[in-house]
Amino acid sequence: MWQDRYHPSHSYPLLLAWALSAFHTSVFVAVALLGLHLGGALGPALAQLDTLTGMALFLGLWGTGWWATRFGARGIGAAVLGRWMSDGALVNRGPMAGGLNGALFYAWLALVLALRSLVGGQPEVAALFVSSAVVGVPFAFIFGVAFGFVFAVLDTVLIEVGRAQVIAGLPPPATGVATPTATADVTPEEP
Amino acid sequence: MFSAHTWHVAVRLVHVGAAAVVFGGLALVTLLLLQRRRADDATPLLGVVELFERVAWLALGVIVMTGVGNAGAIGRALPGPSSVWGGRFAVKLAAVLLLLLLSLVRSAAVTHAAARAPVALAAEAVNPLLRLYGLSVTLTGVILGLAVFLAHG
Repeated sequence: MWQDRYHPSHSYPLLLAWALSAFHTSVFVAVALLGLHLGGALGPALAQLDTLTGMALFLGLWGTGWWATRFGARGIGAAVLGRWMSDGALVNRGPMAGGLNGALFYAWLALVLALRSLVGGQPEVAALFVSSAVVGVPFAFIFGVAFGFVFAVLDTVLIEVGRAQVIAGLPPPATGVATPTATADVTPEEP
Repeated sequence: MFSAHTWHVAVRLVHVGAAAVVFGGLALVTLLLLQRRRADDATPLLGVVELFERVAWLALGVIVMTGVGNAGAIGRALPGPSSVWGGRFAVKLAAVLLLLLLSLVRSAAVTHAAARAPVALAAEAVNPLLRLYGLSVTLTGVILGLAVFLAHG
């Protein structure tokens, strides 16, 4: 039965990790789009990007973000039950998750652009992209740490707002699902 | 393999389809919550809501990705922010950002409701969720209206 397959008590940490990874990727890209547009630079920037490359970059960012979010969201079972504001699980792990996401995405970016250059018959440009990863990956890690911290604070605020909407009048967390003391390091289940 | 025009049509089709999934799903869940409030039945609504949240995030990601493709199809001819079209485009992007923020609040609310009452949606959670879904479907409708202006106005 699909009701059993999607029973919330089994999958709610995964839902939040899935929501956070899509949220981070989409907000990051939407803010970049809006900033470029307001600066008058969106058209020229997008003119350099073909459809396949753009899709490969976006999906790469989403994929590394999904992995990094699951890394950062360990313990989220306890978090959603109300303790995370005090133990700061997301804020503690967010910067490292963001750094790893940044490093992985830069490596993916260099690979995609190198492949595009190779297909376009420019092996010297491809080599340049690959070699740029040596310097680019550590810098991307540092930028990622900063973005990871900002997103962790934003996630924390928005999840708390959502919790505050429904918490009044509801019974305490169901036993057997997760408890603040029992799920200090819950890893979201595999999809 | 495919012409640039074919790619752009395909990207636009996926963009519109994903938007339809979000808007239609939000409207459907809002109606189901309204029904749940009027008749205190034991419909397994929580499973439906949670499944929709997963699908909605997939669709929202696809909307942003294909939105980049749609703007890229215009390329250098994309009007600047001081033009009427460019101003509406900026408002649409800002509204999409707002929808993303609201959607995370909504998903968190669903997650908390599921954690507190995992078998069926608690009656106390229906009204708060109804407010969040109502806001989301209204904002999505505004974004769709802006999209129509951008495409045809």
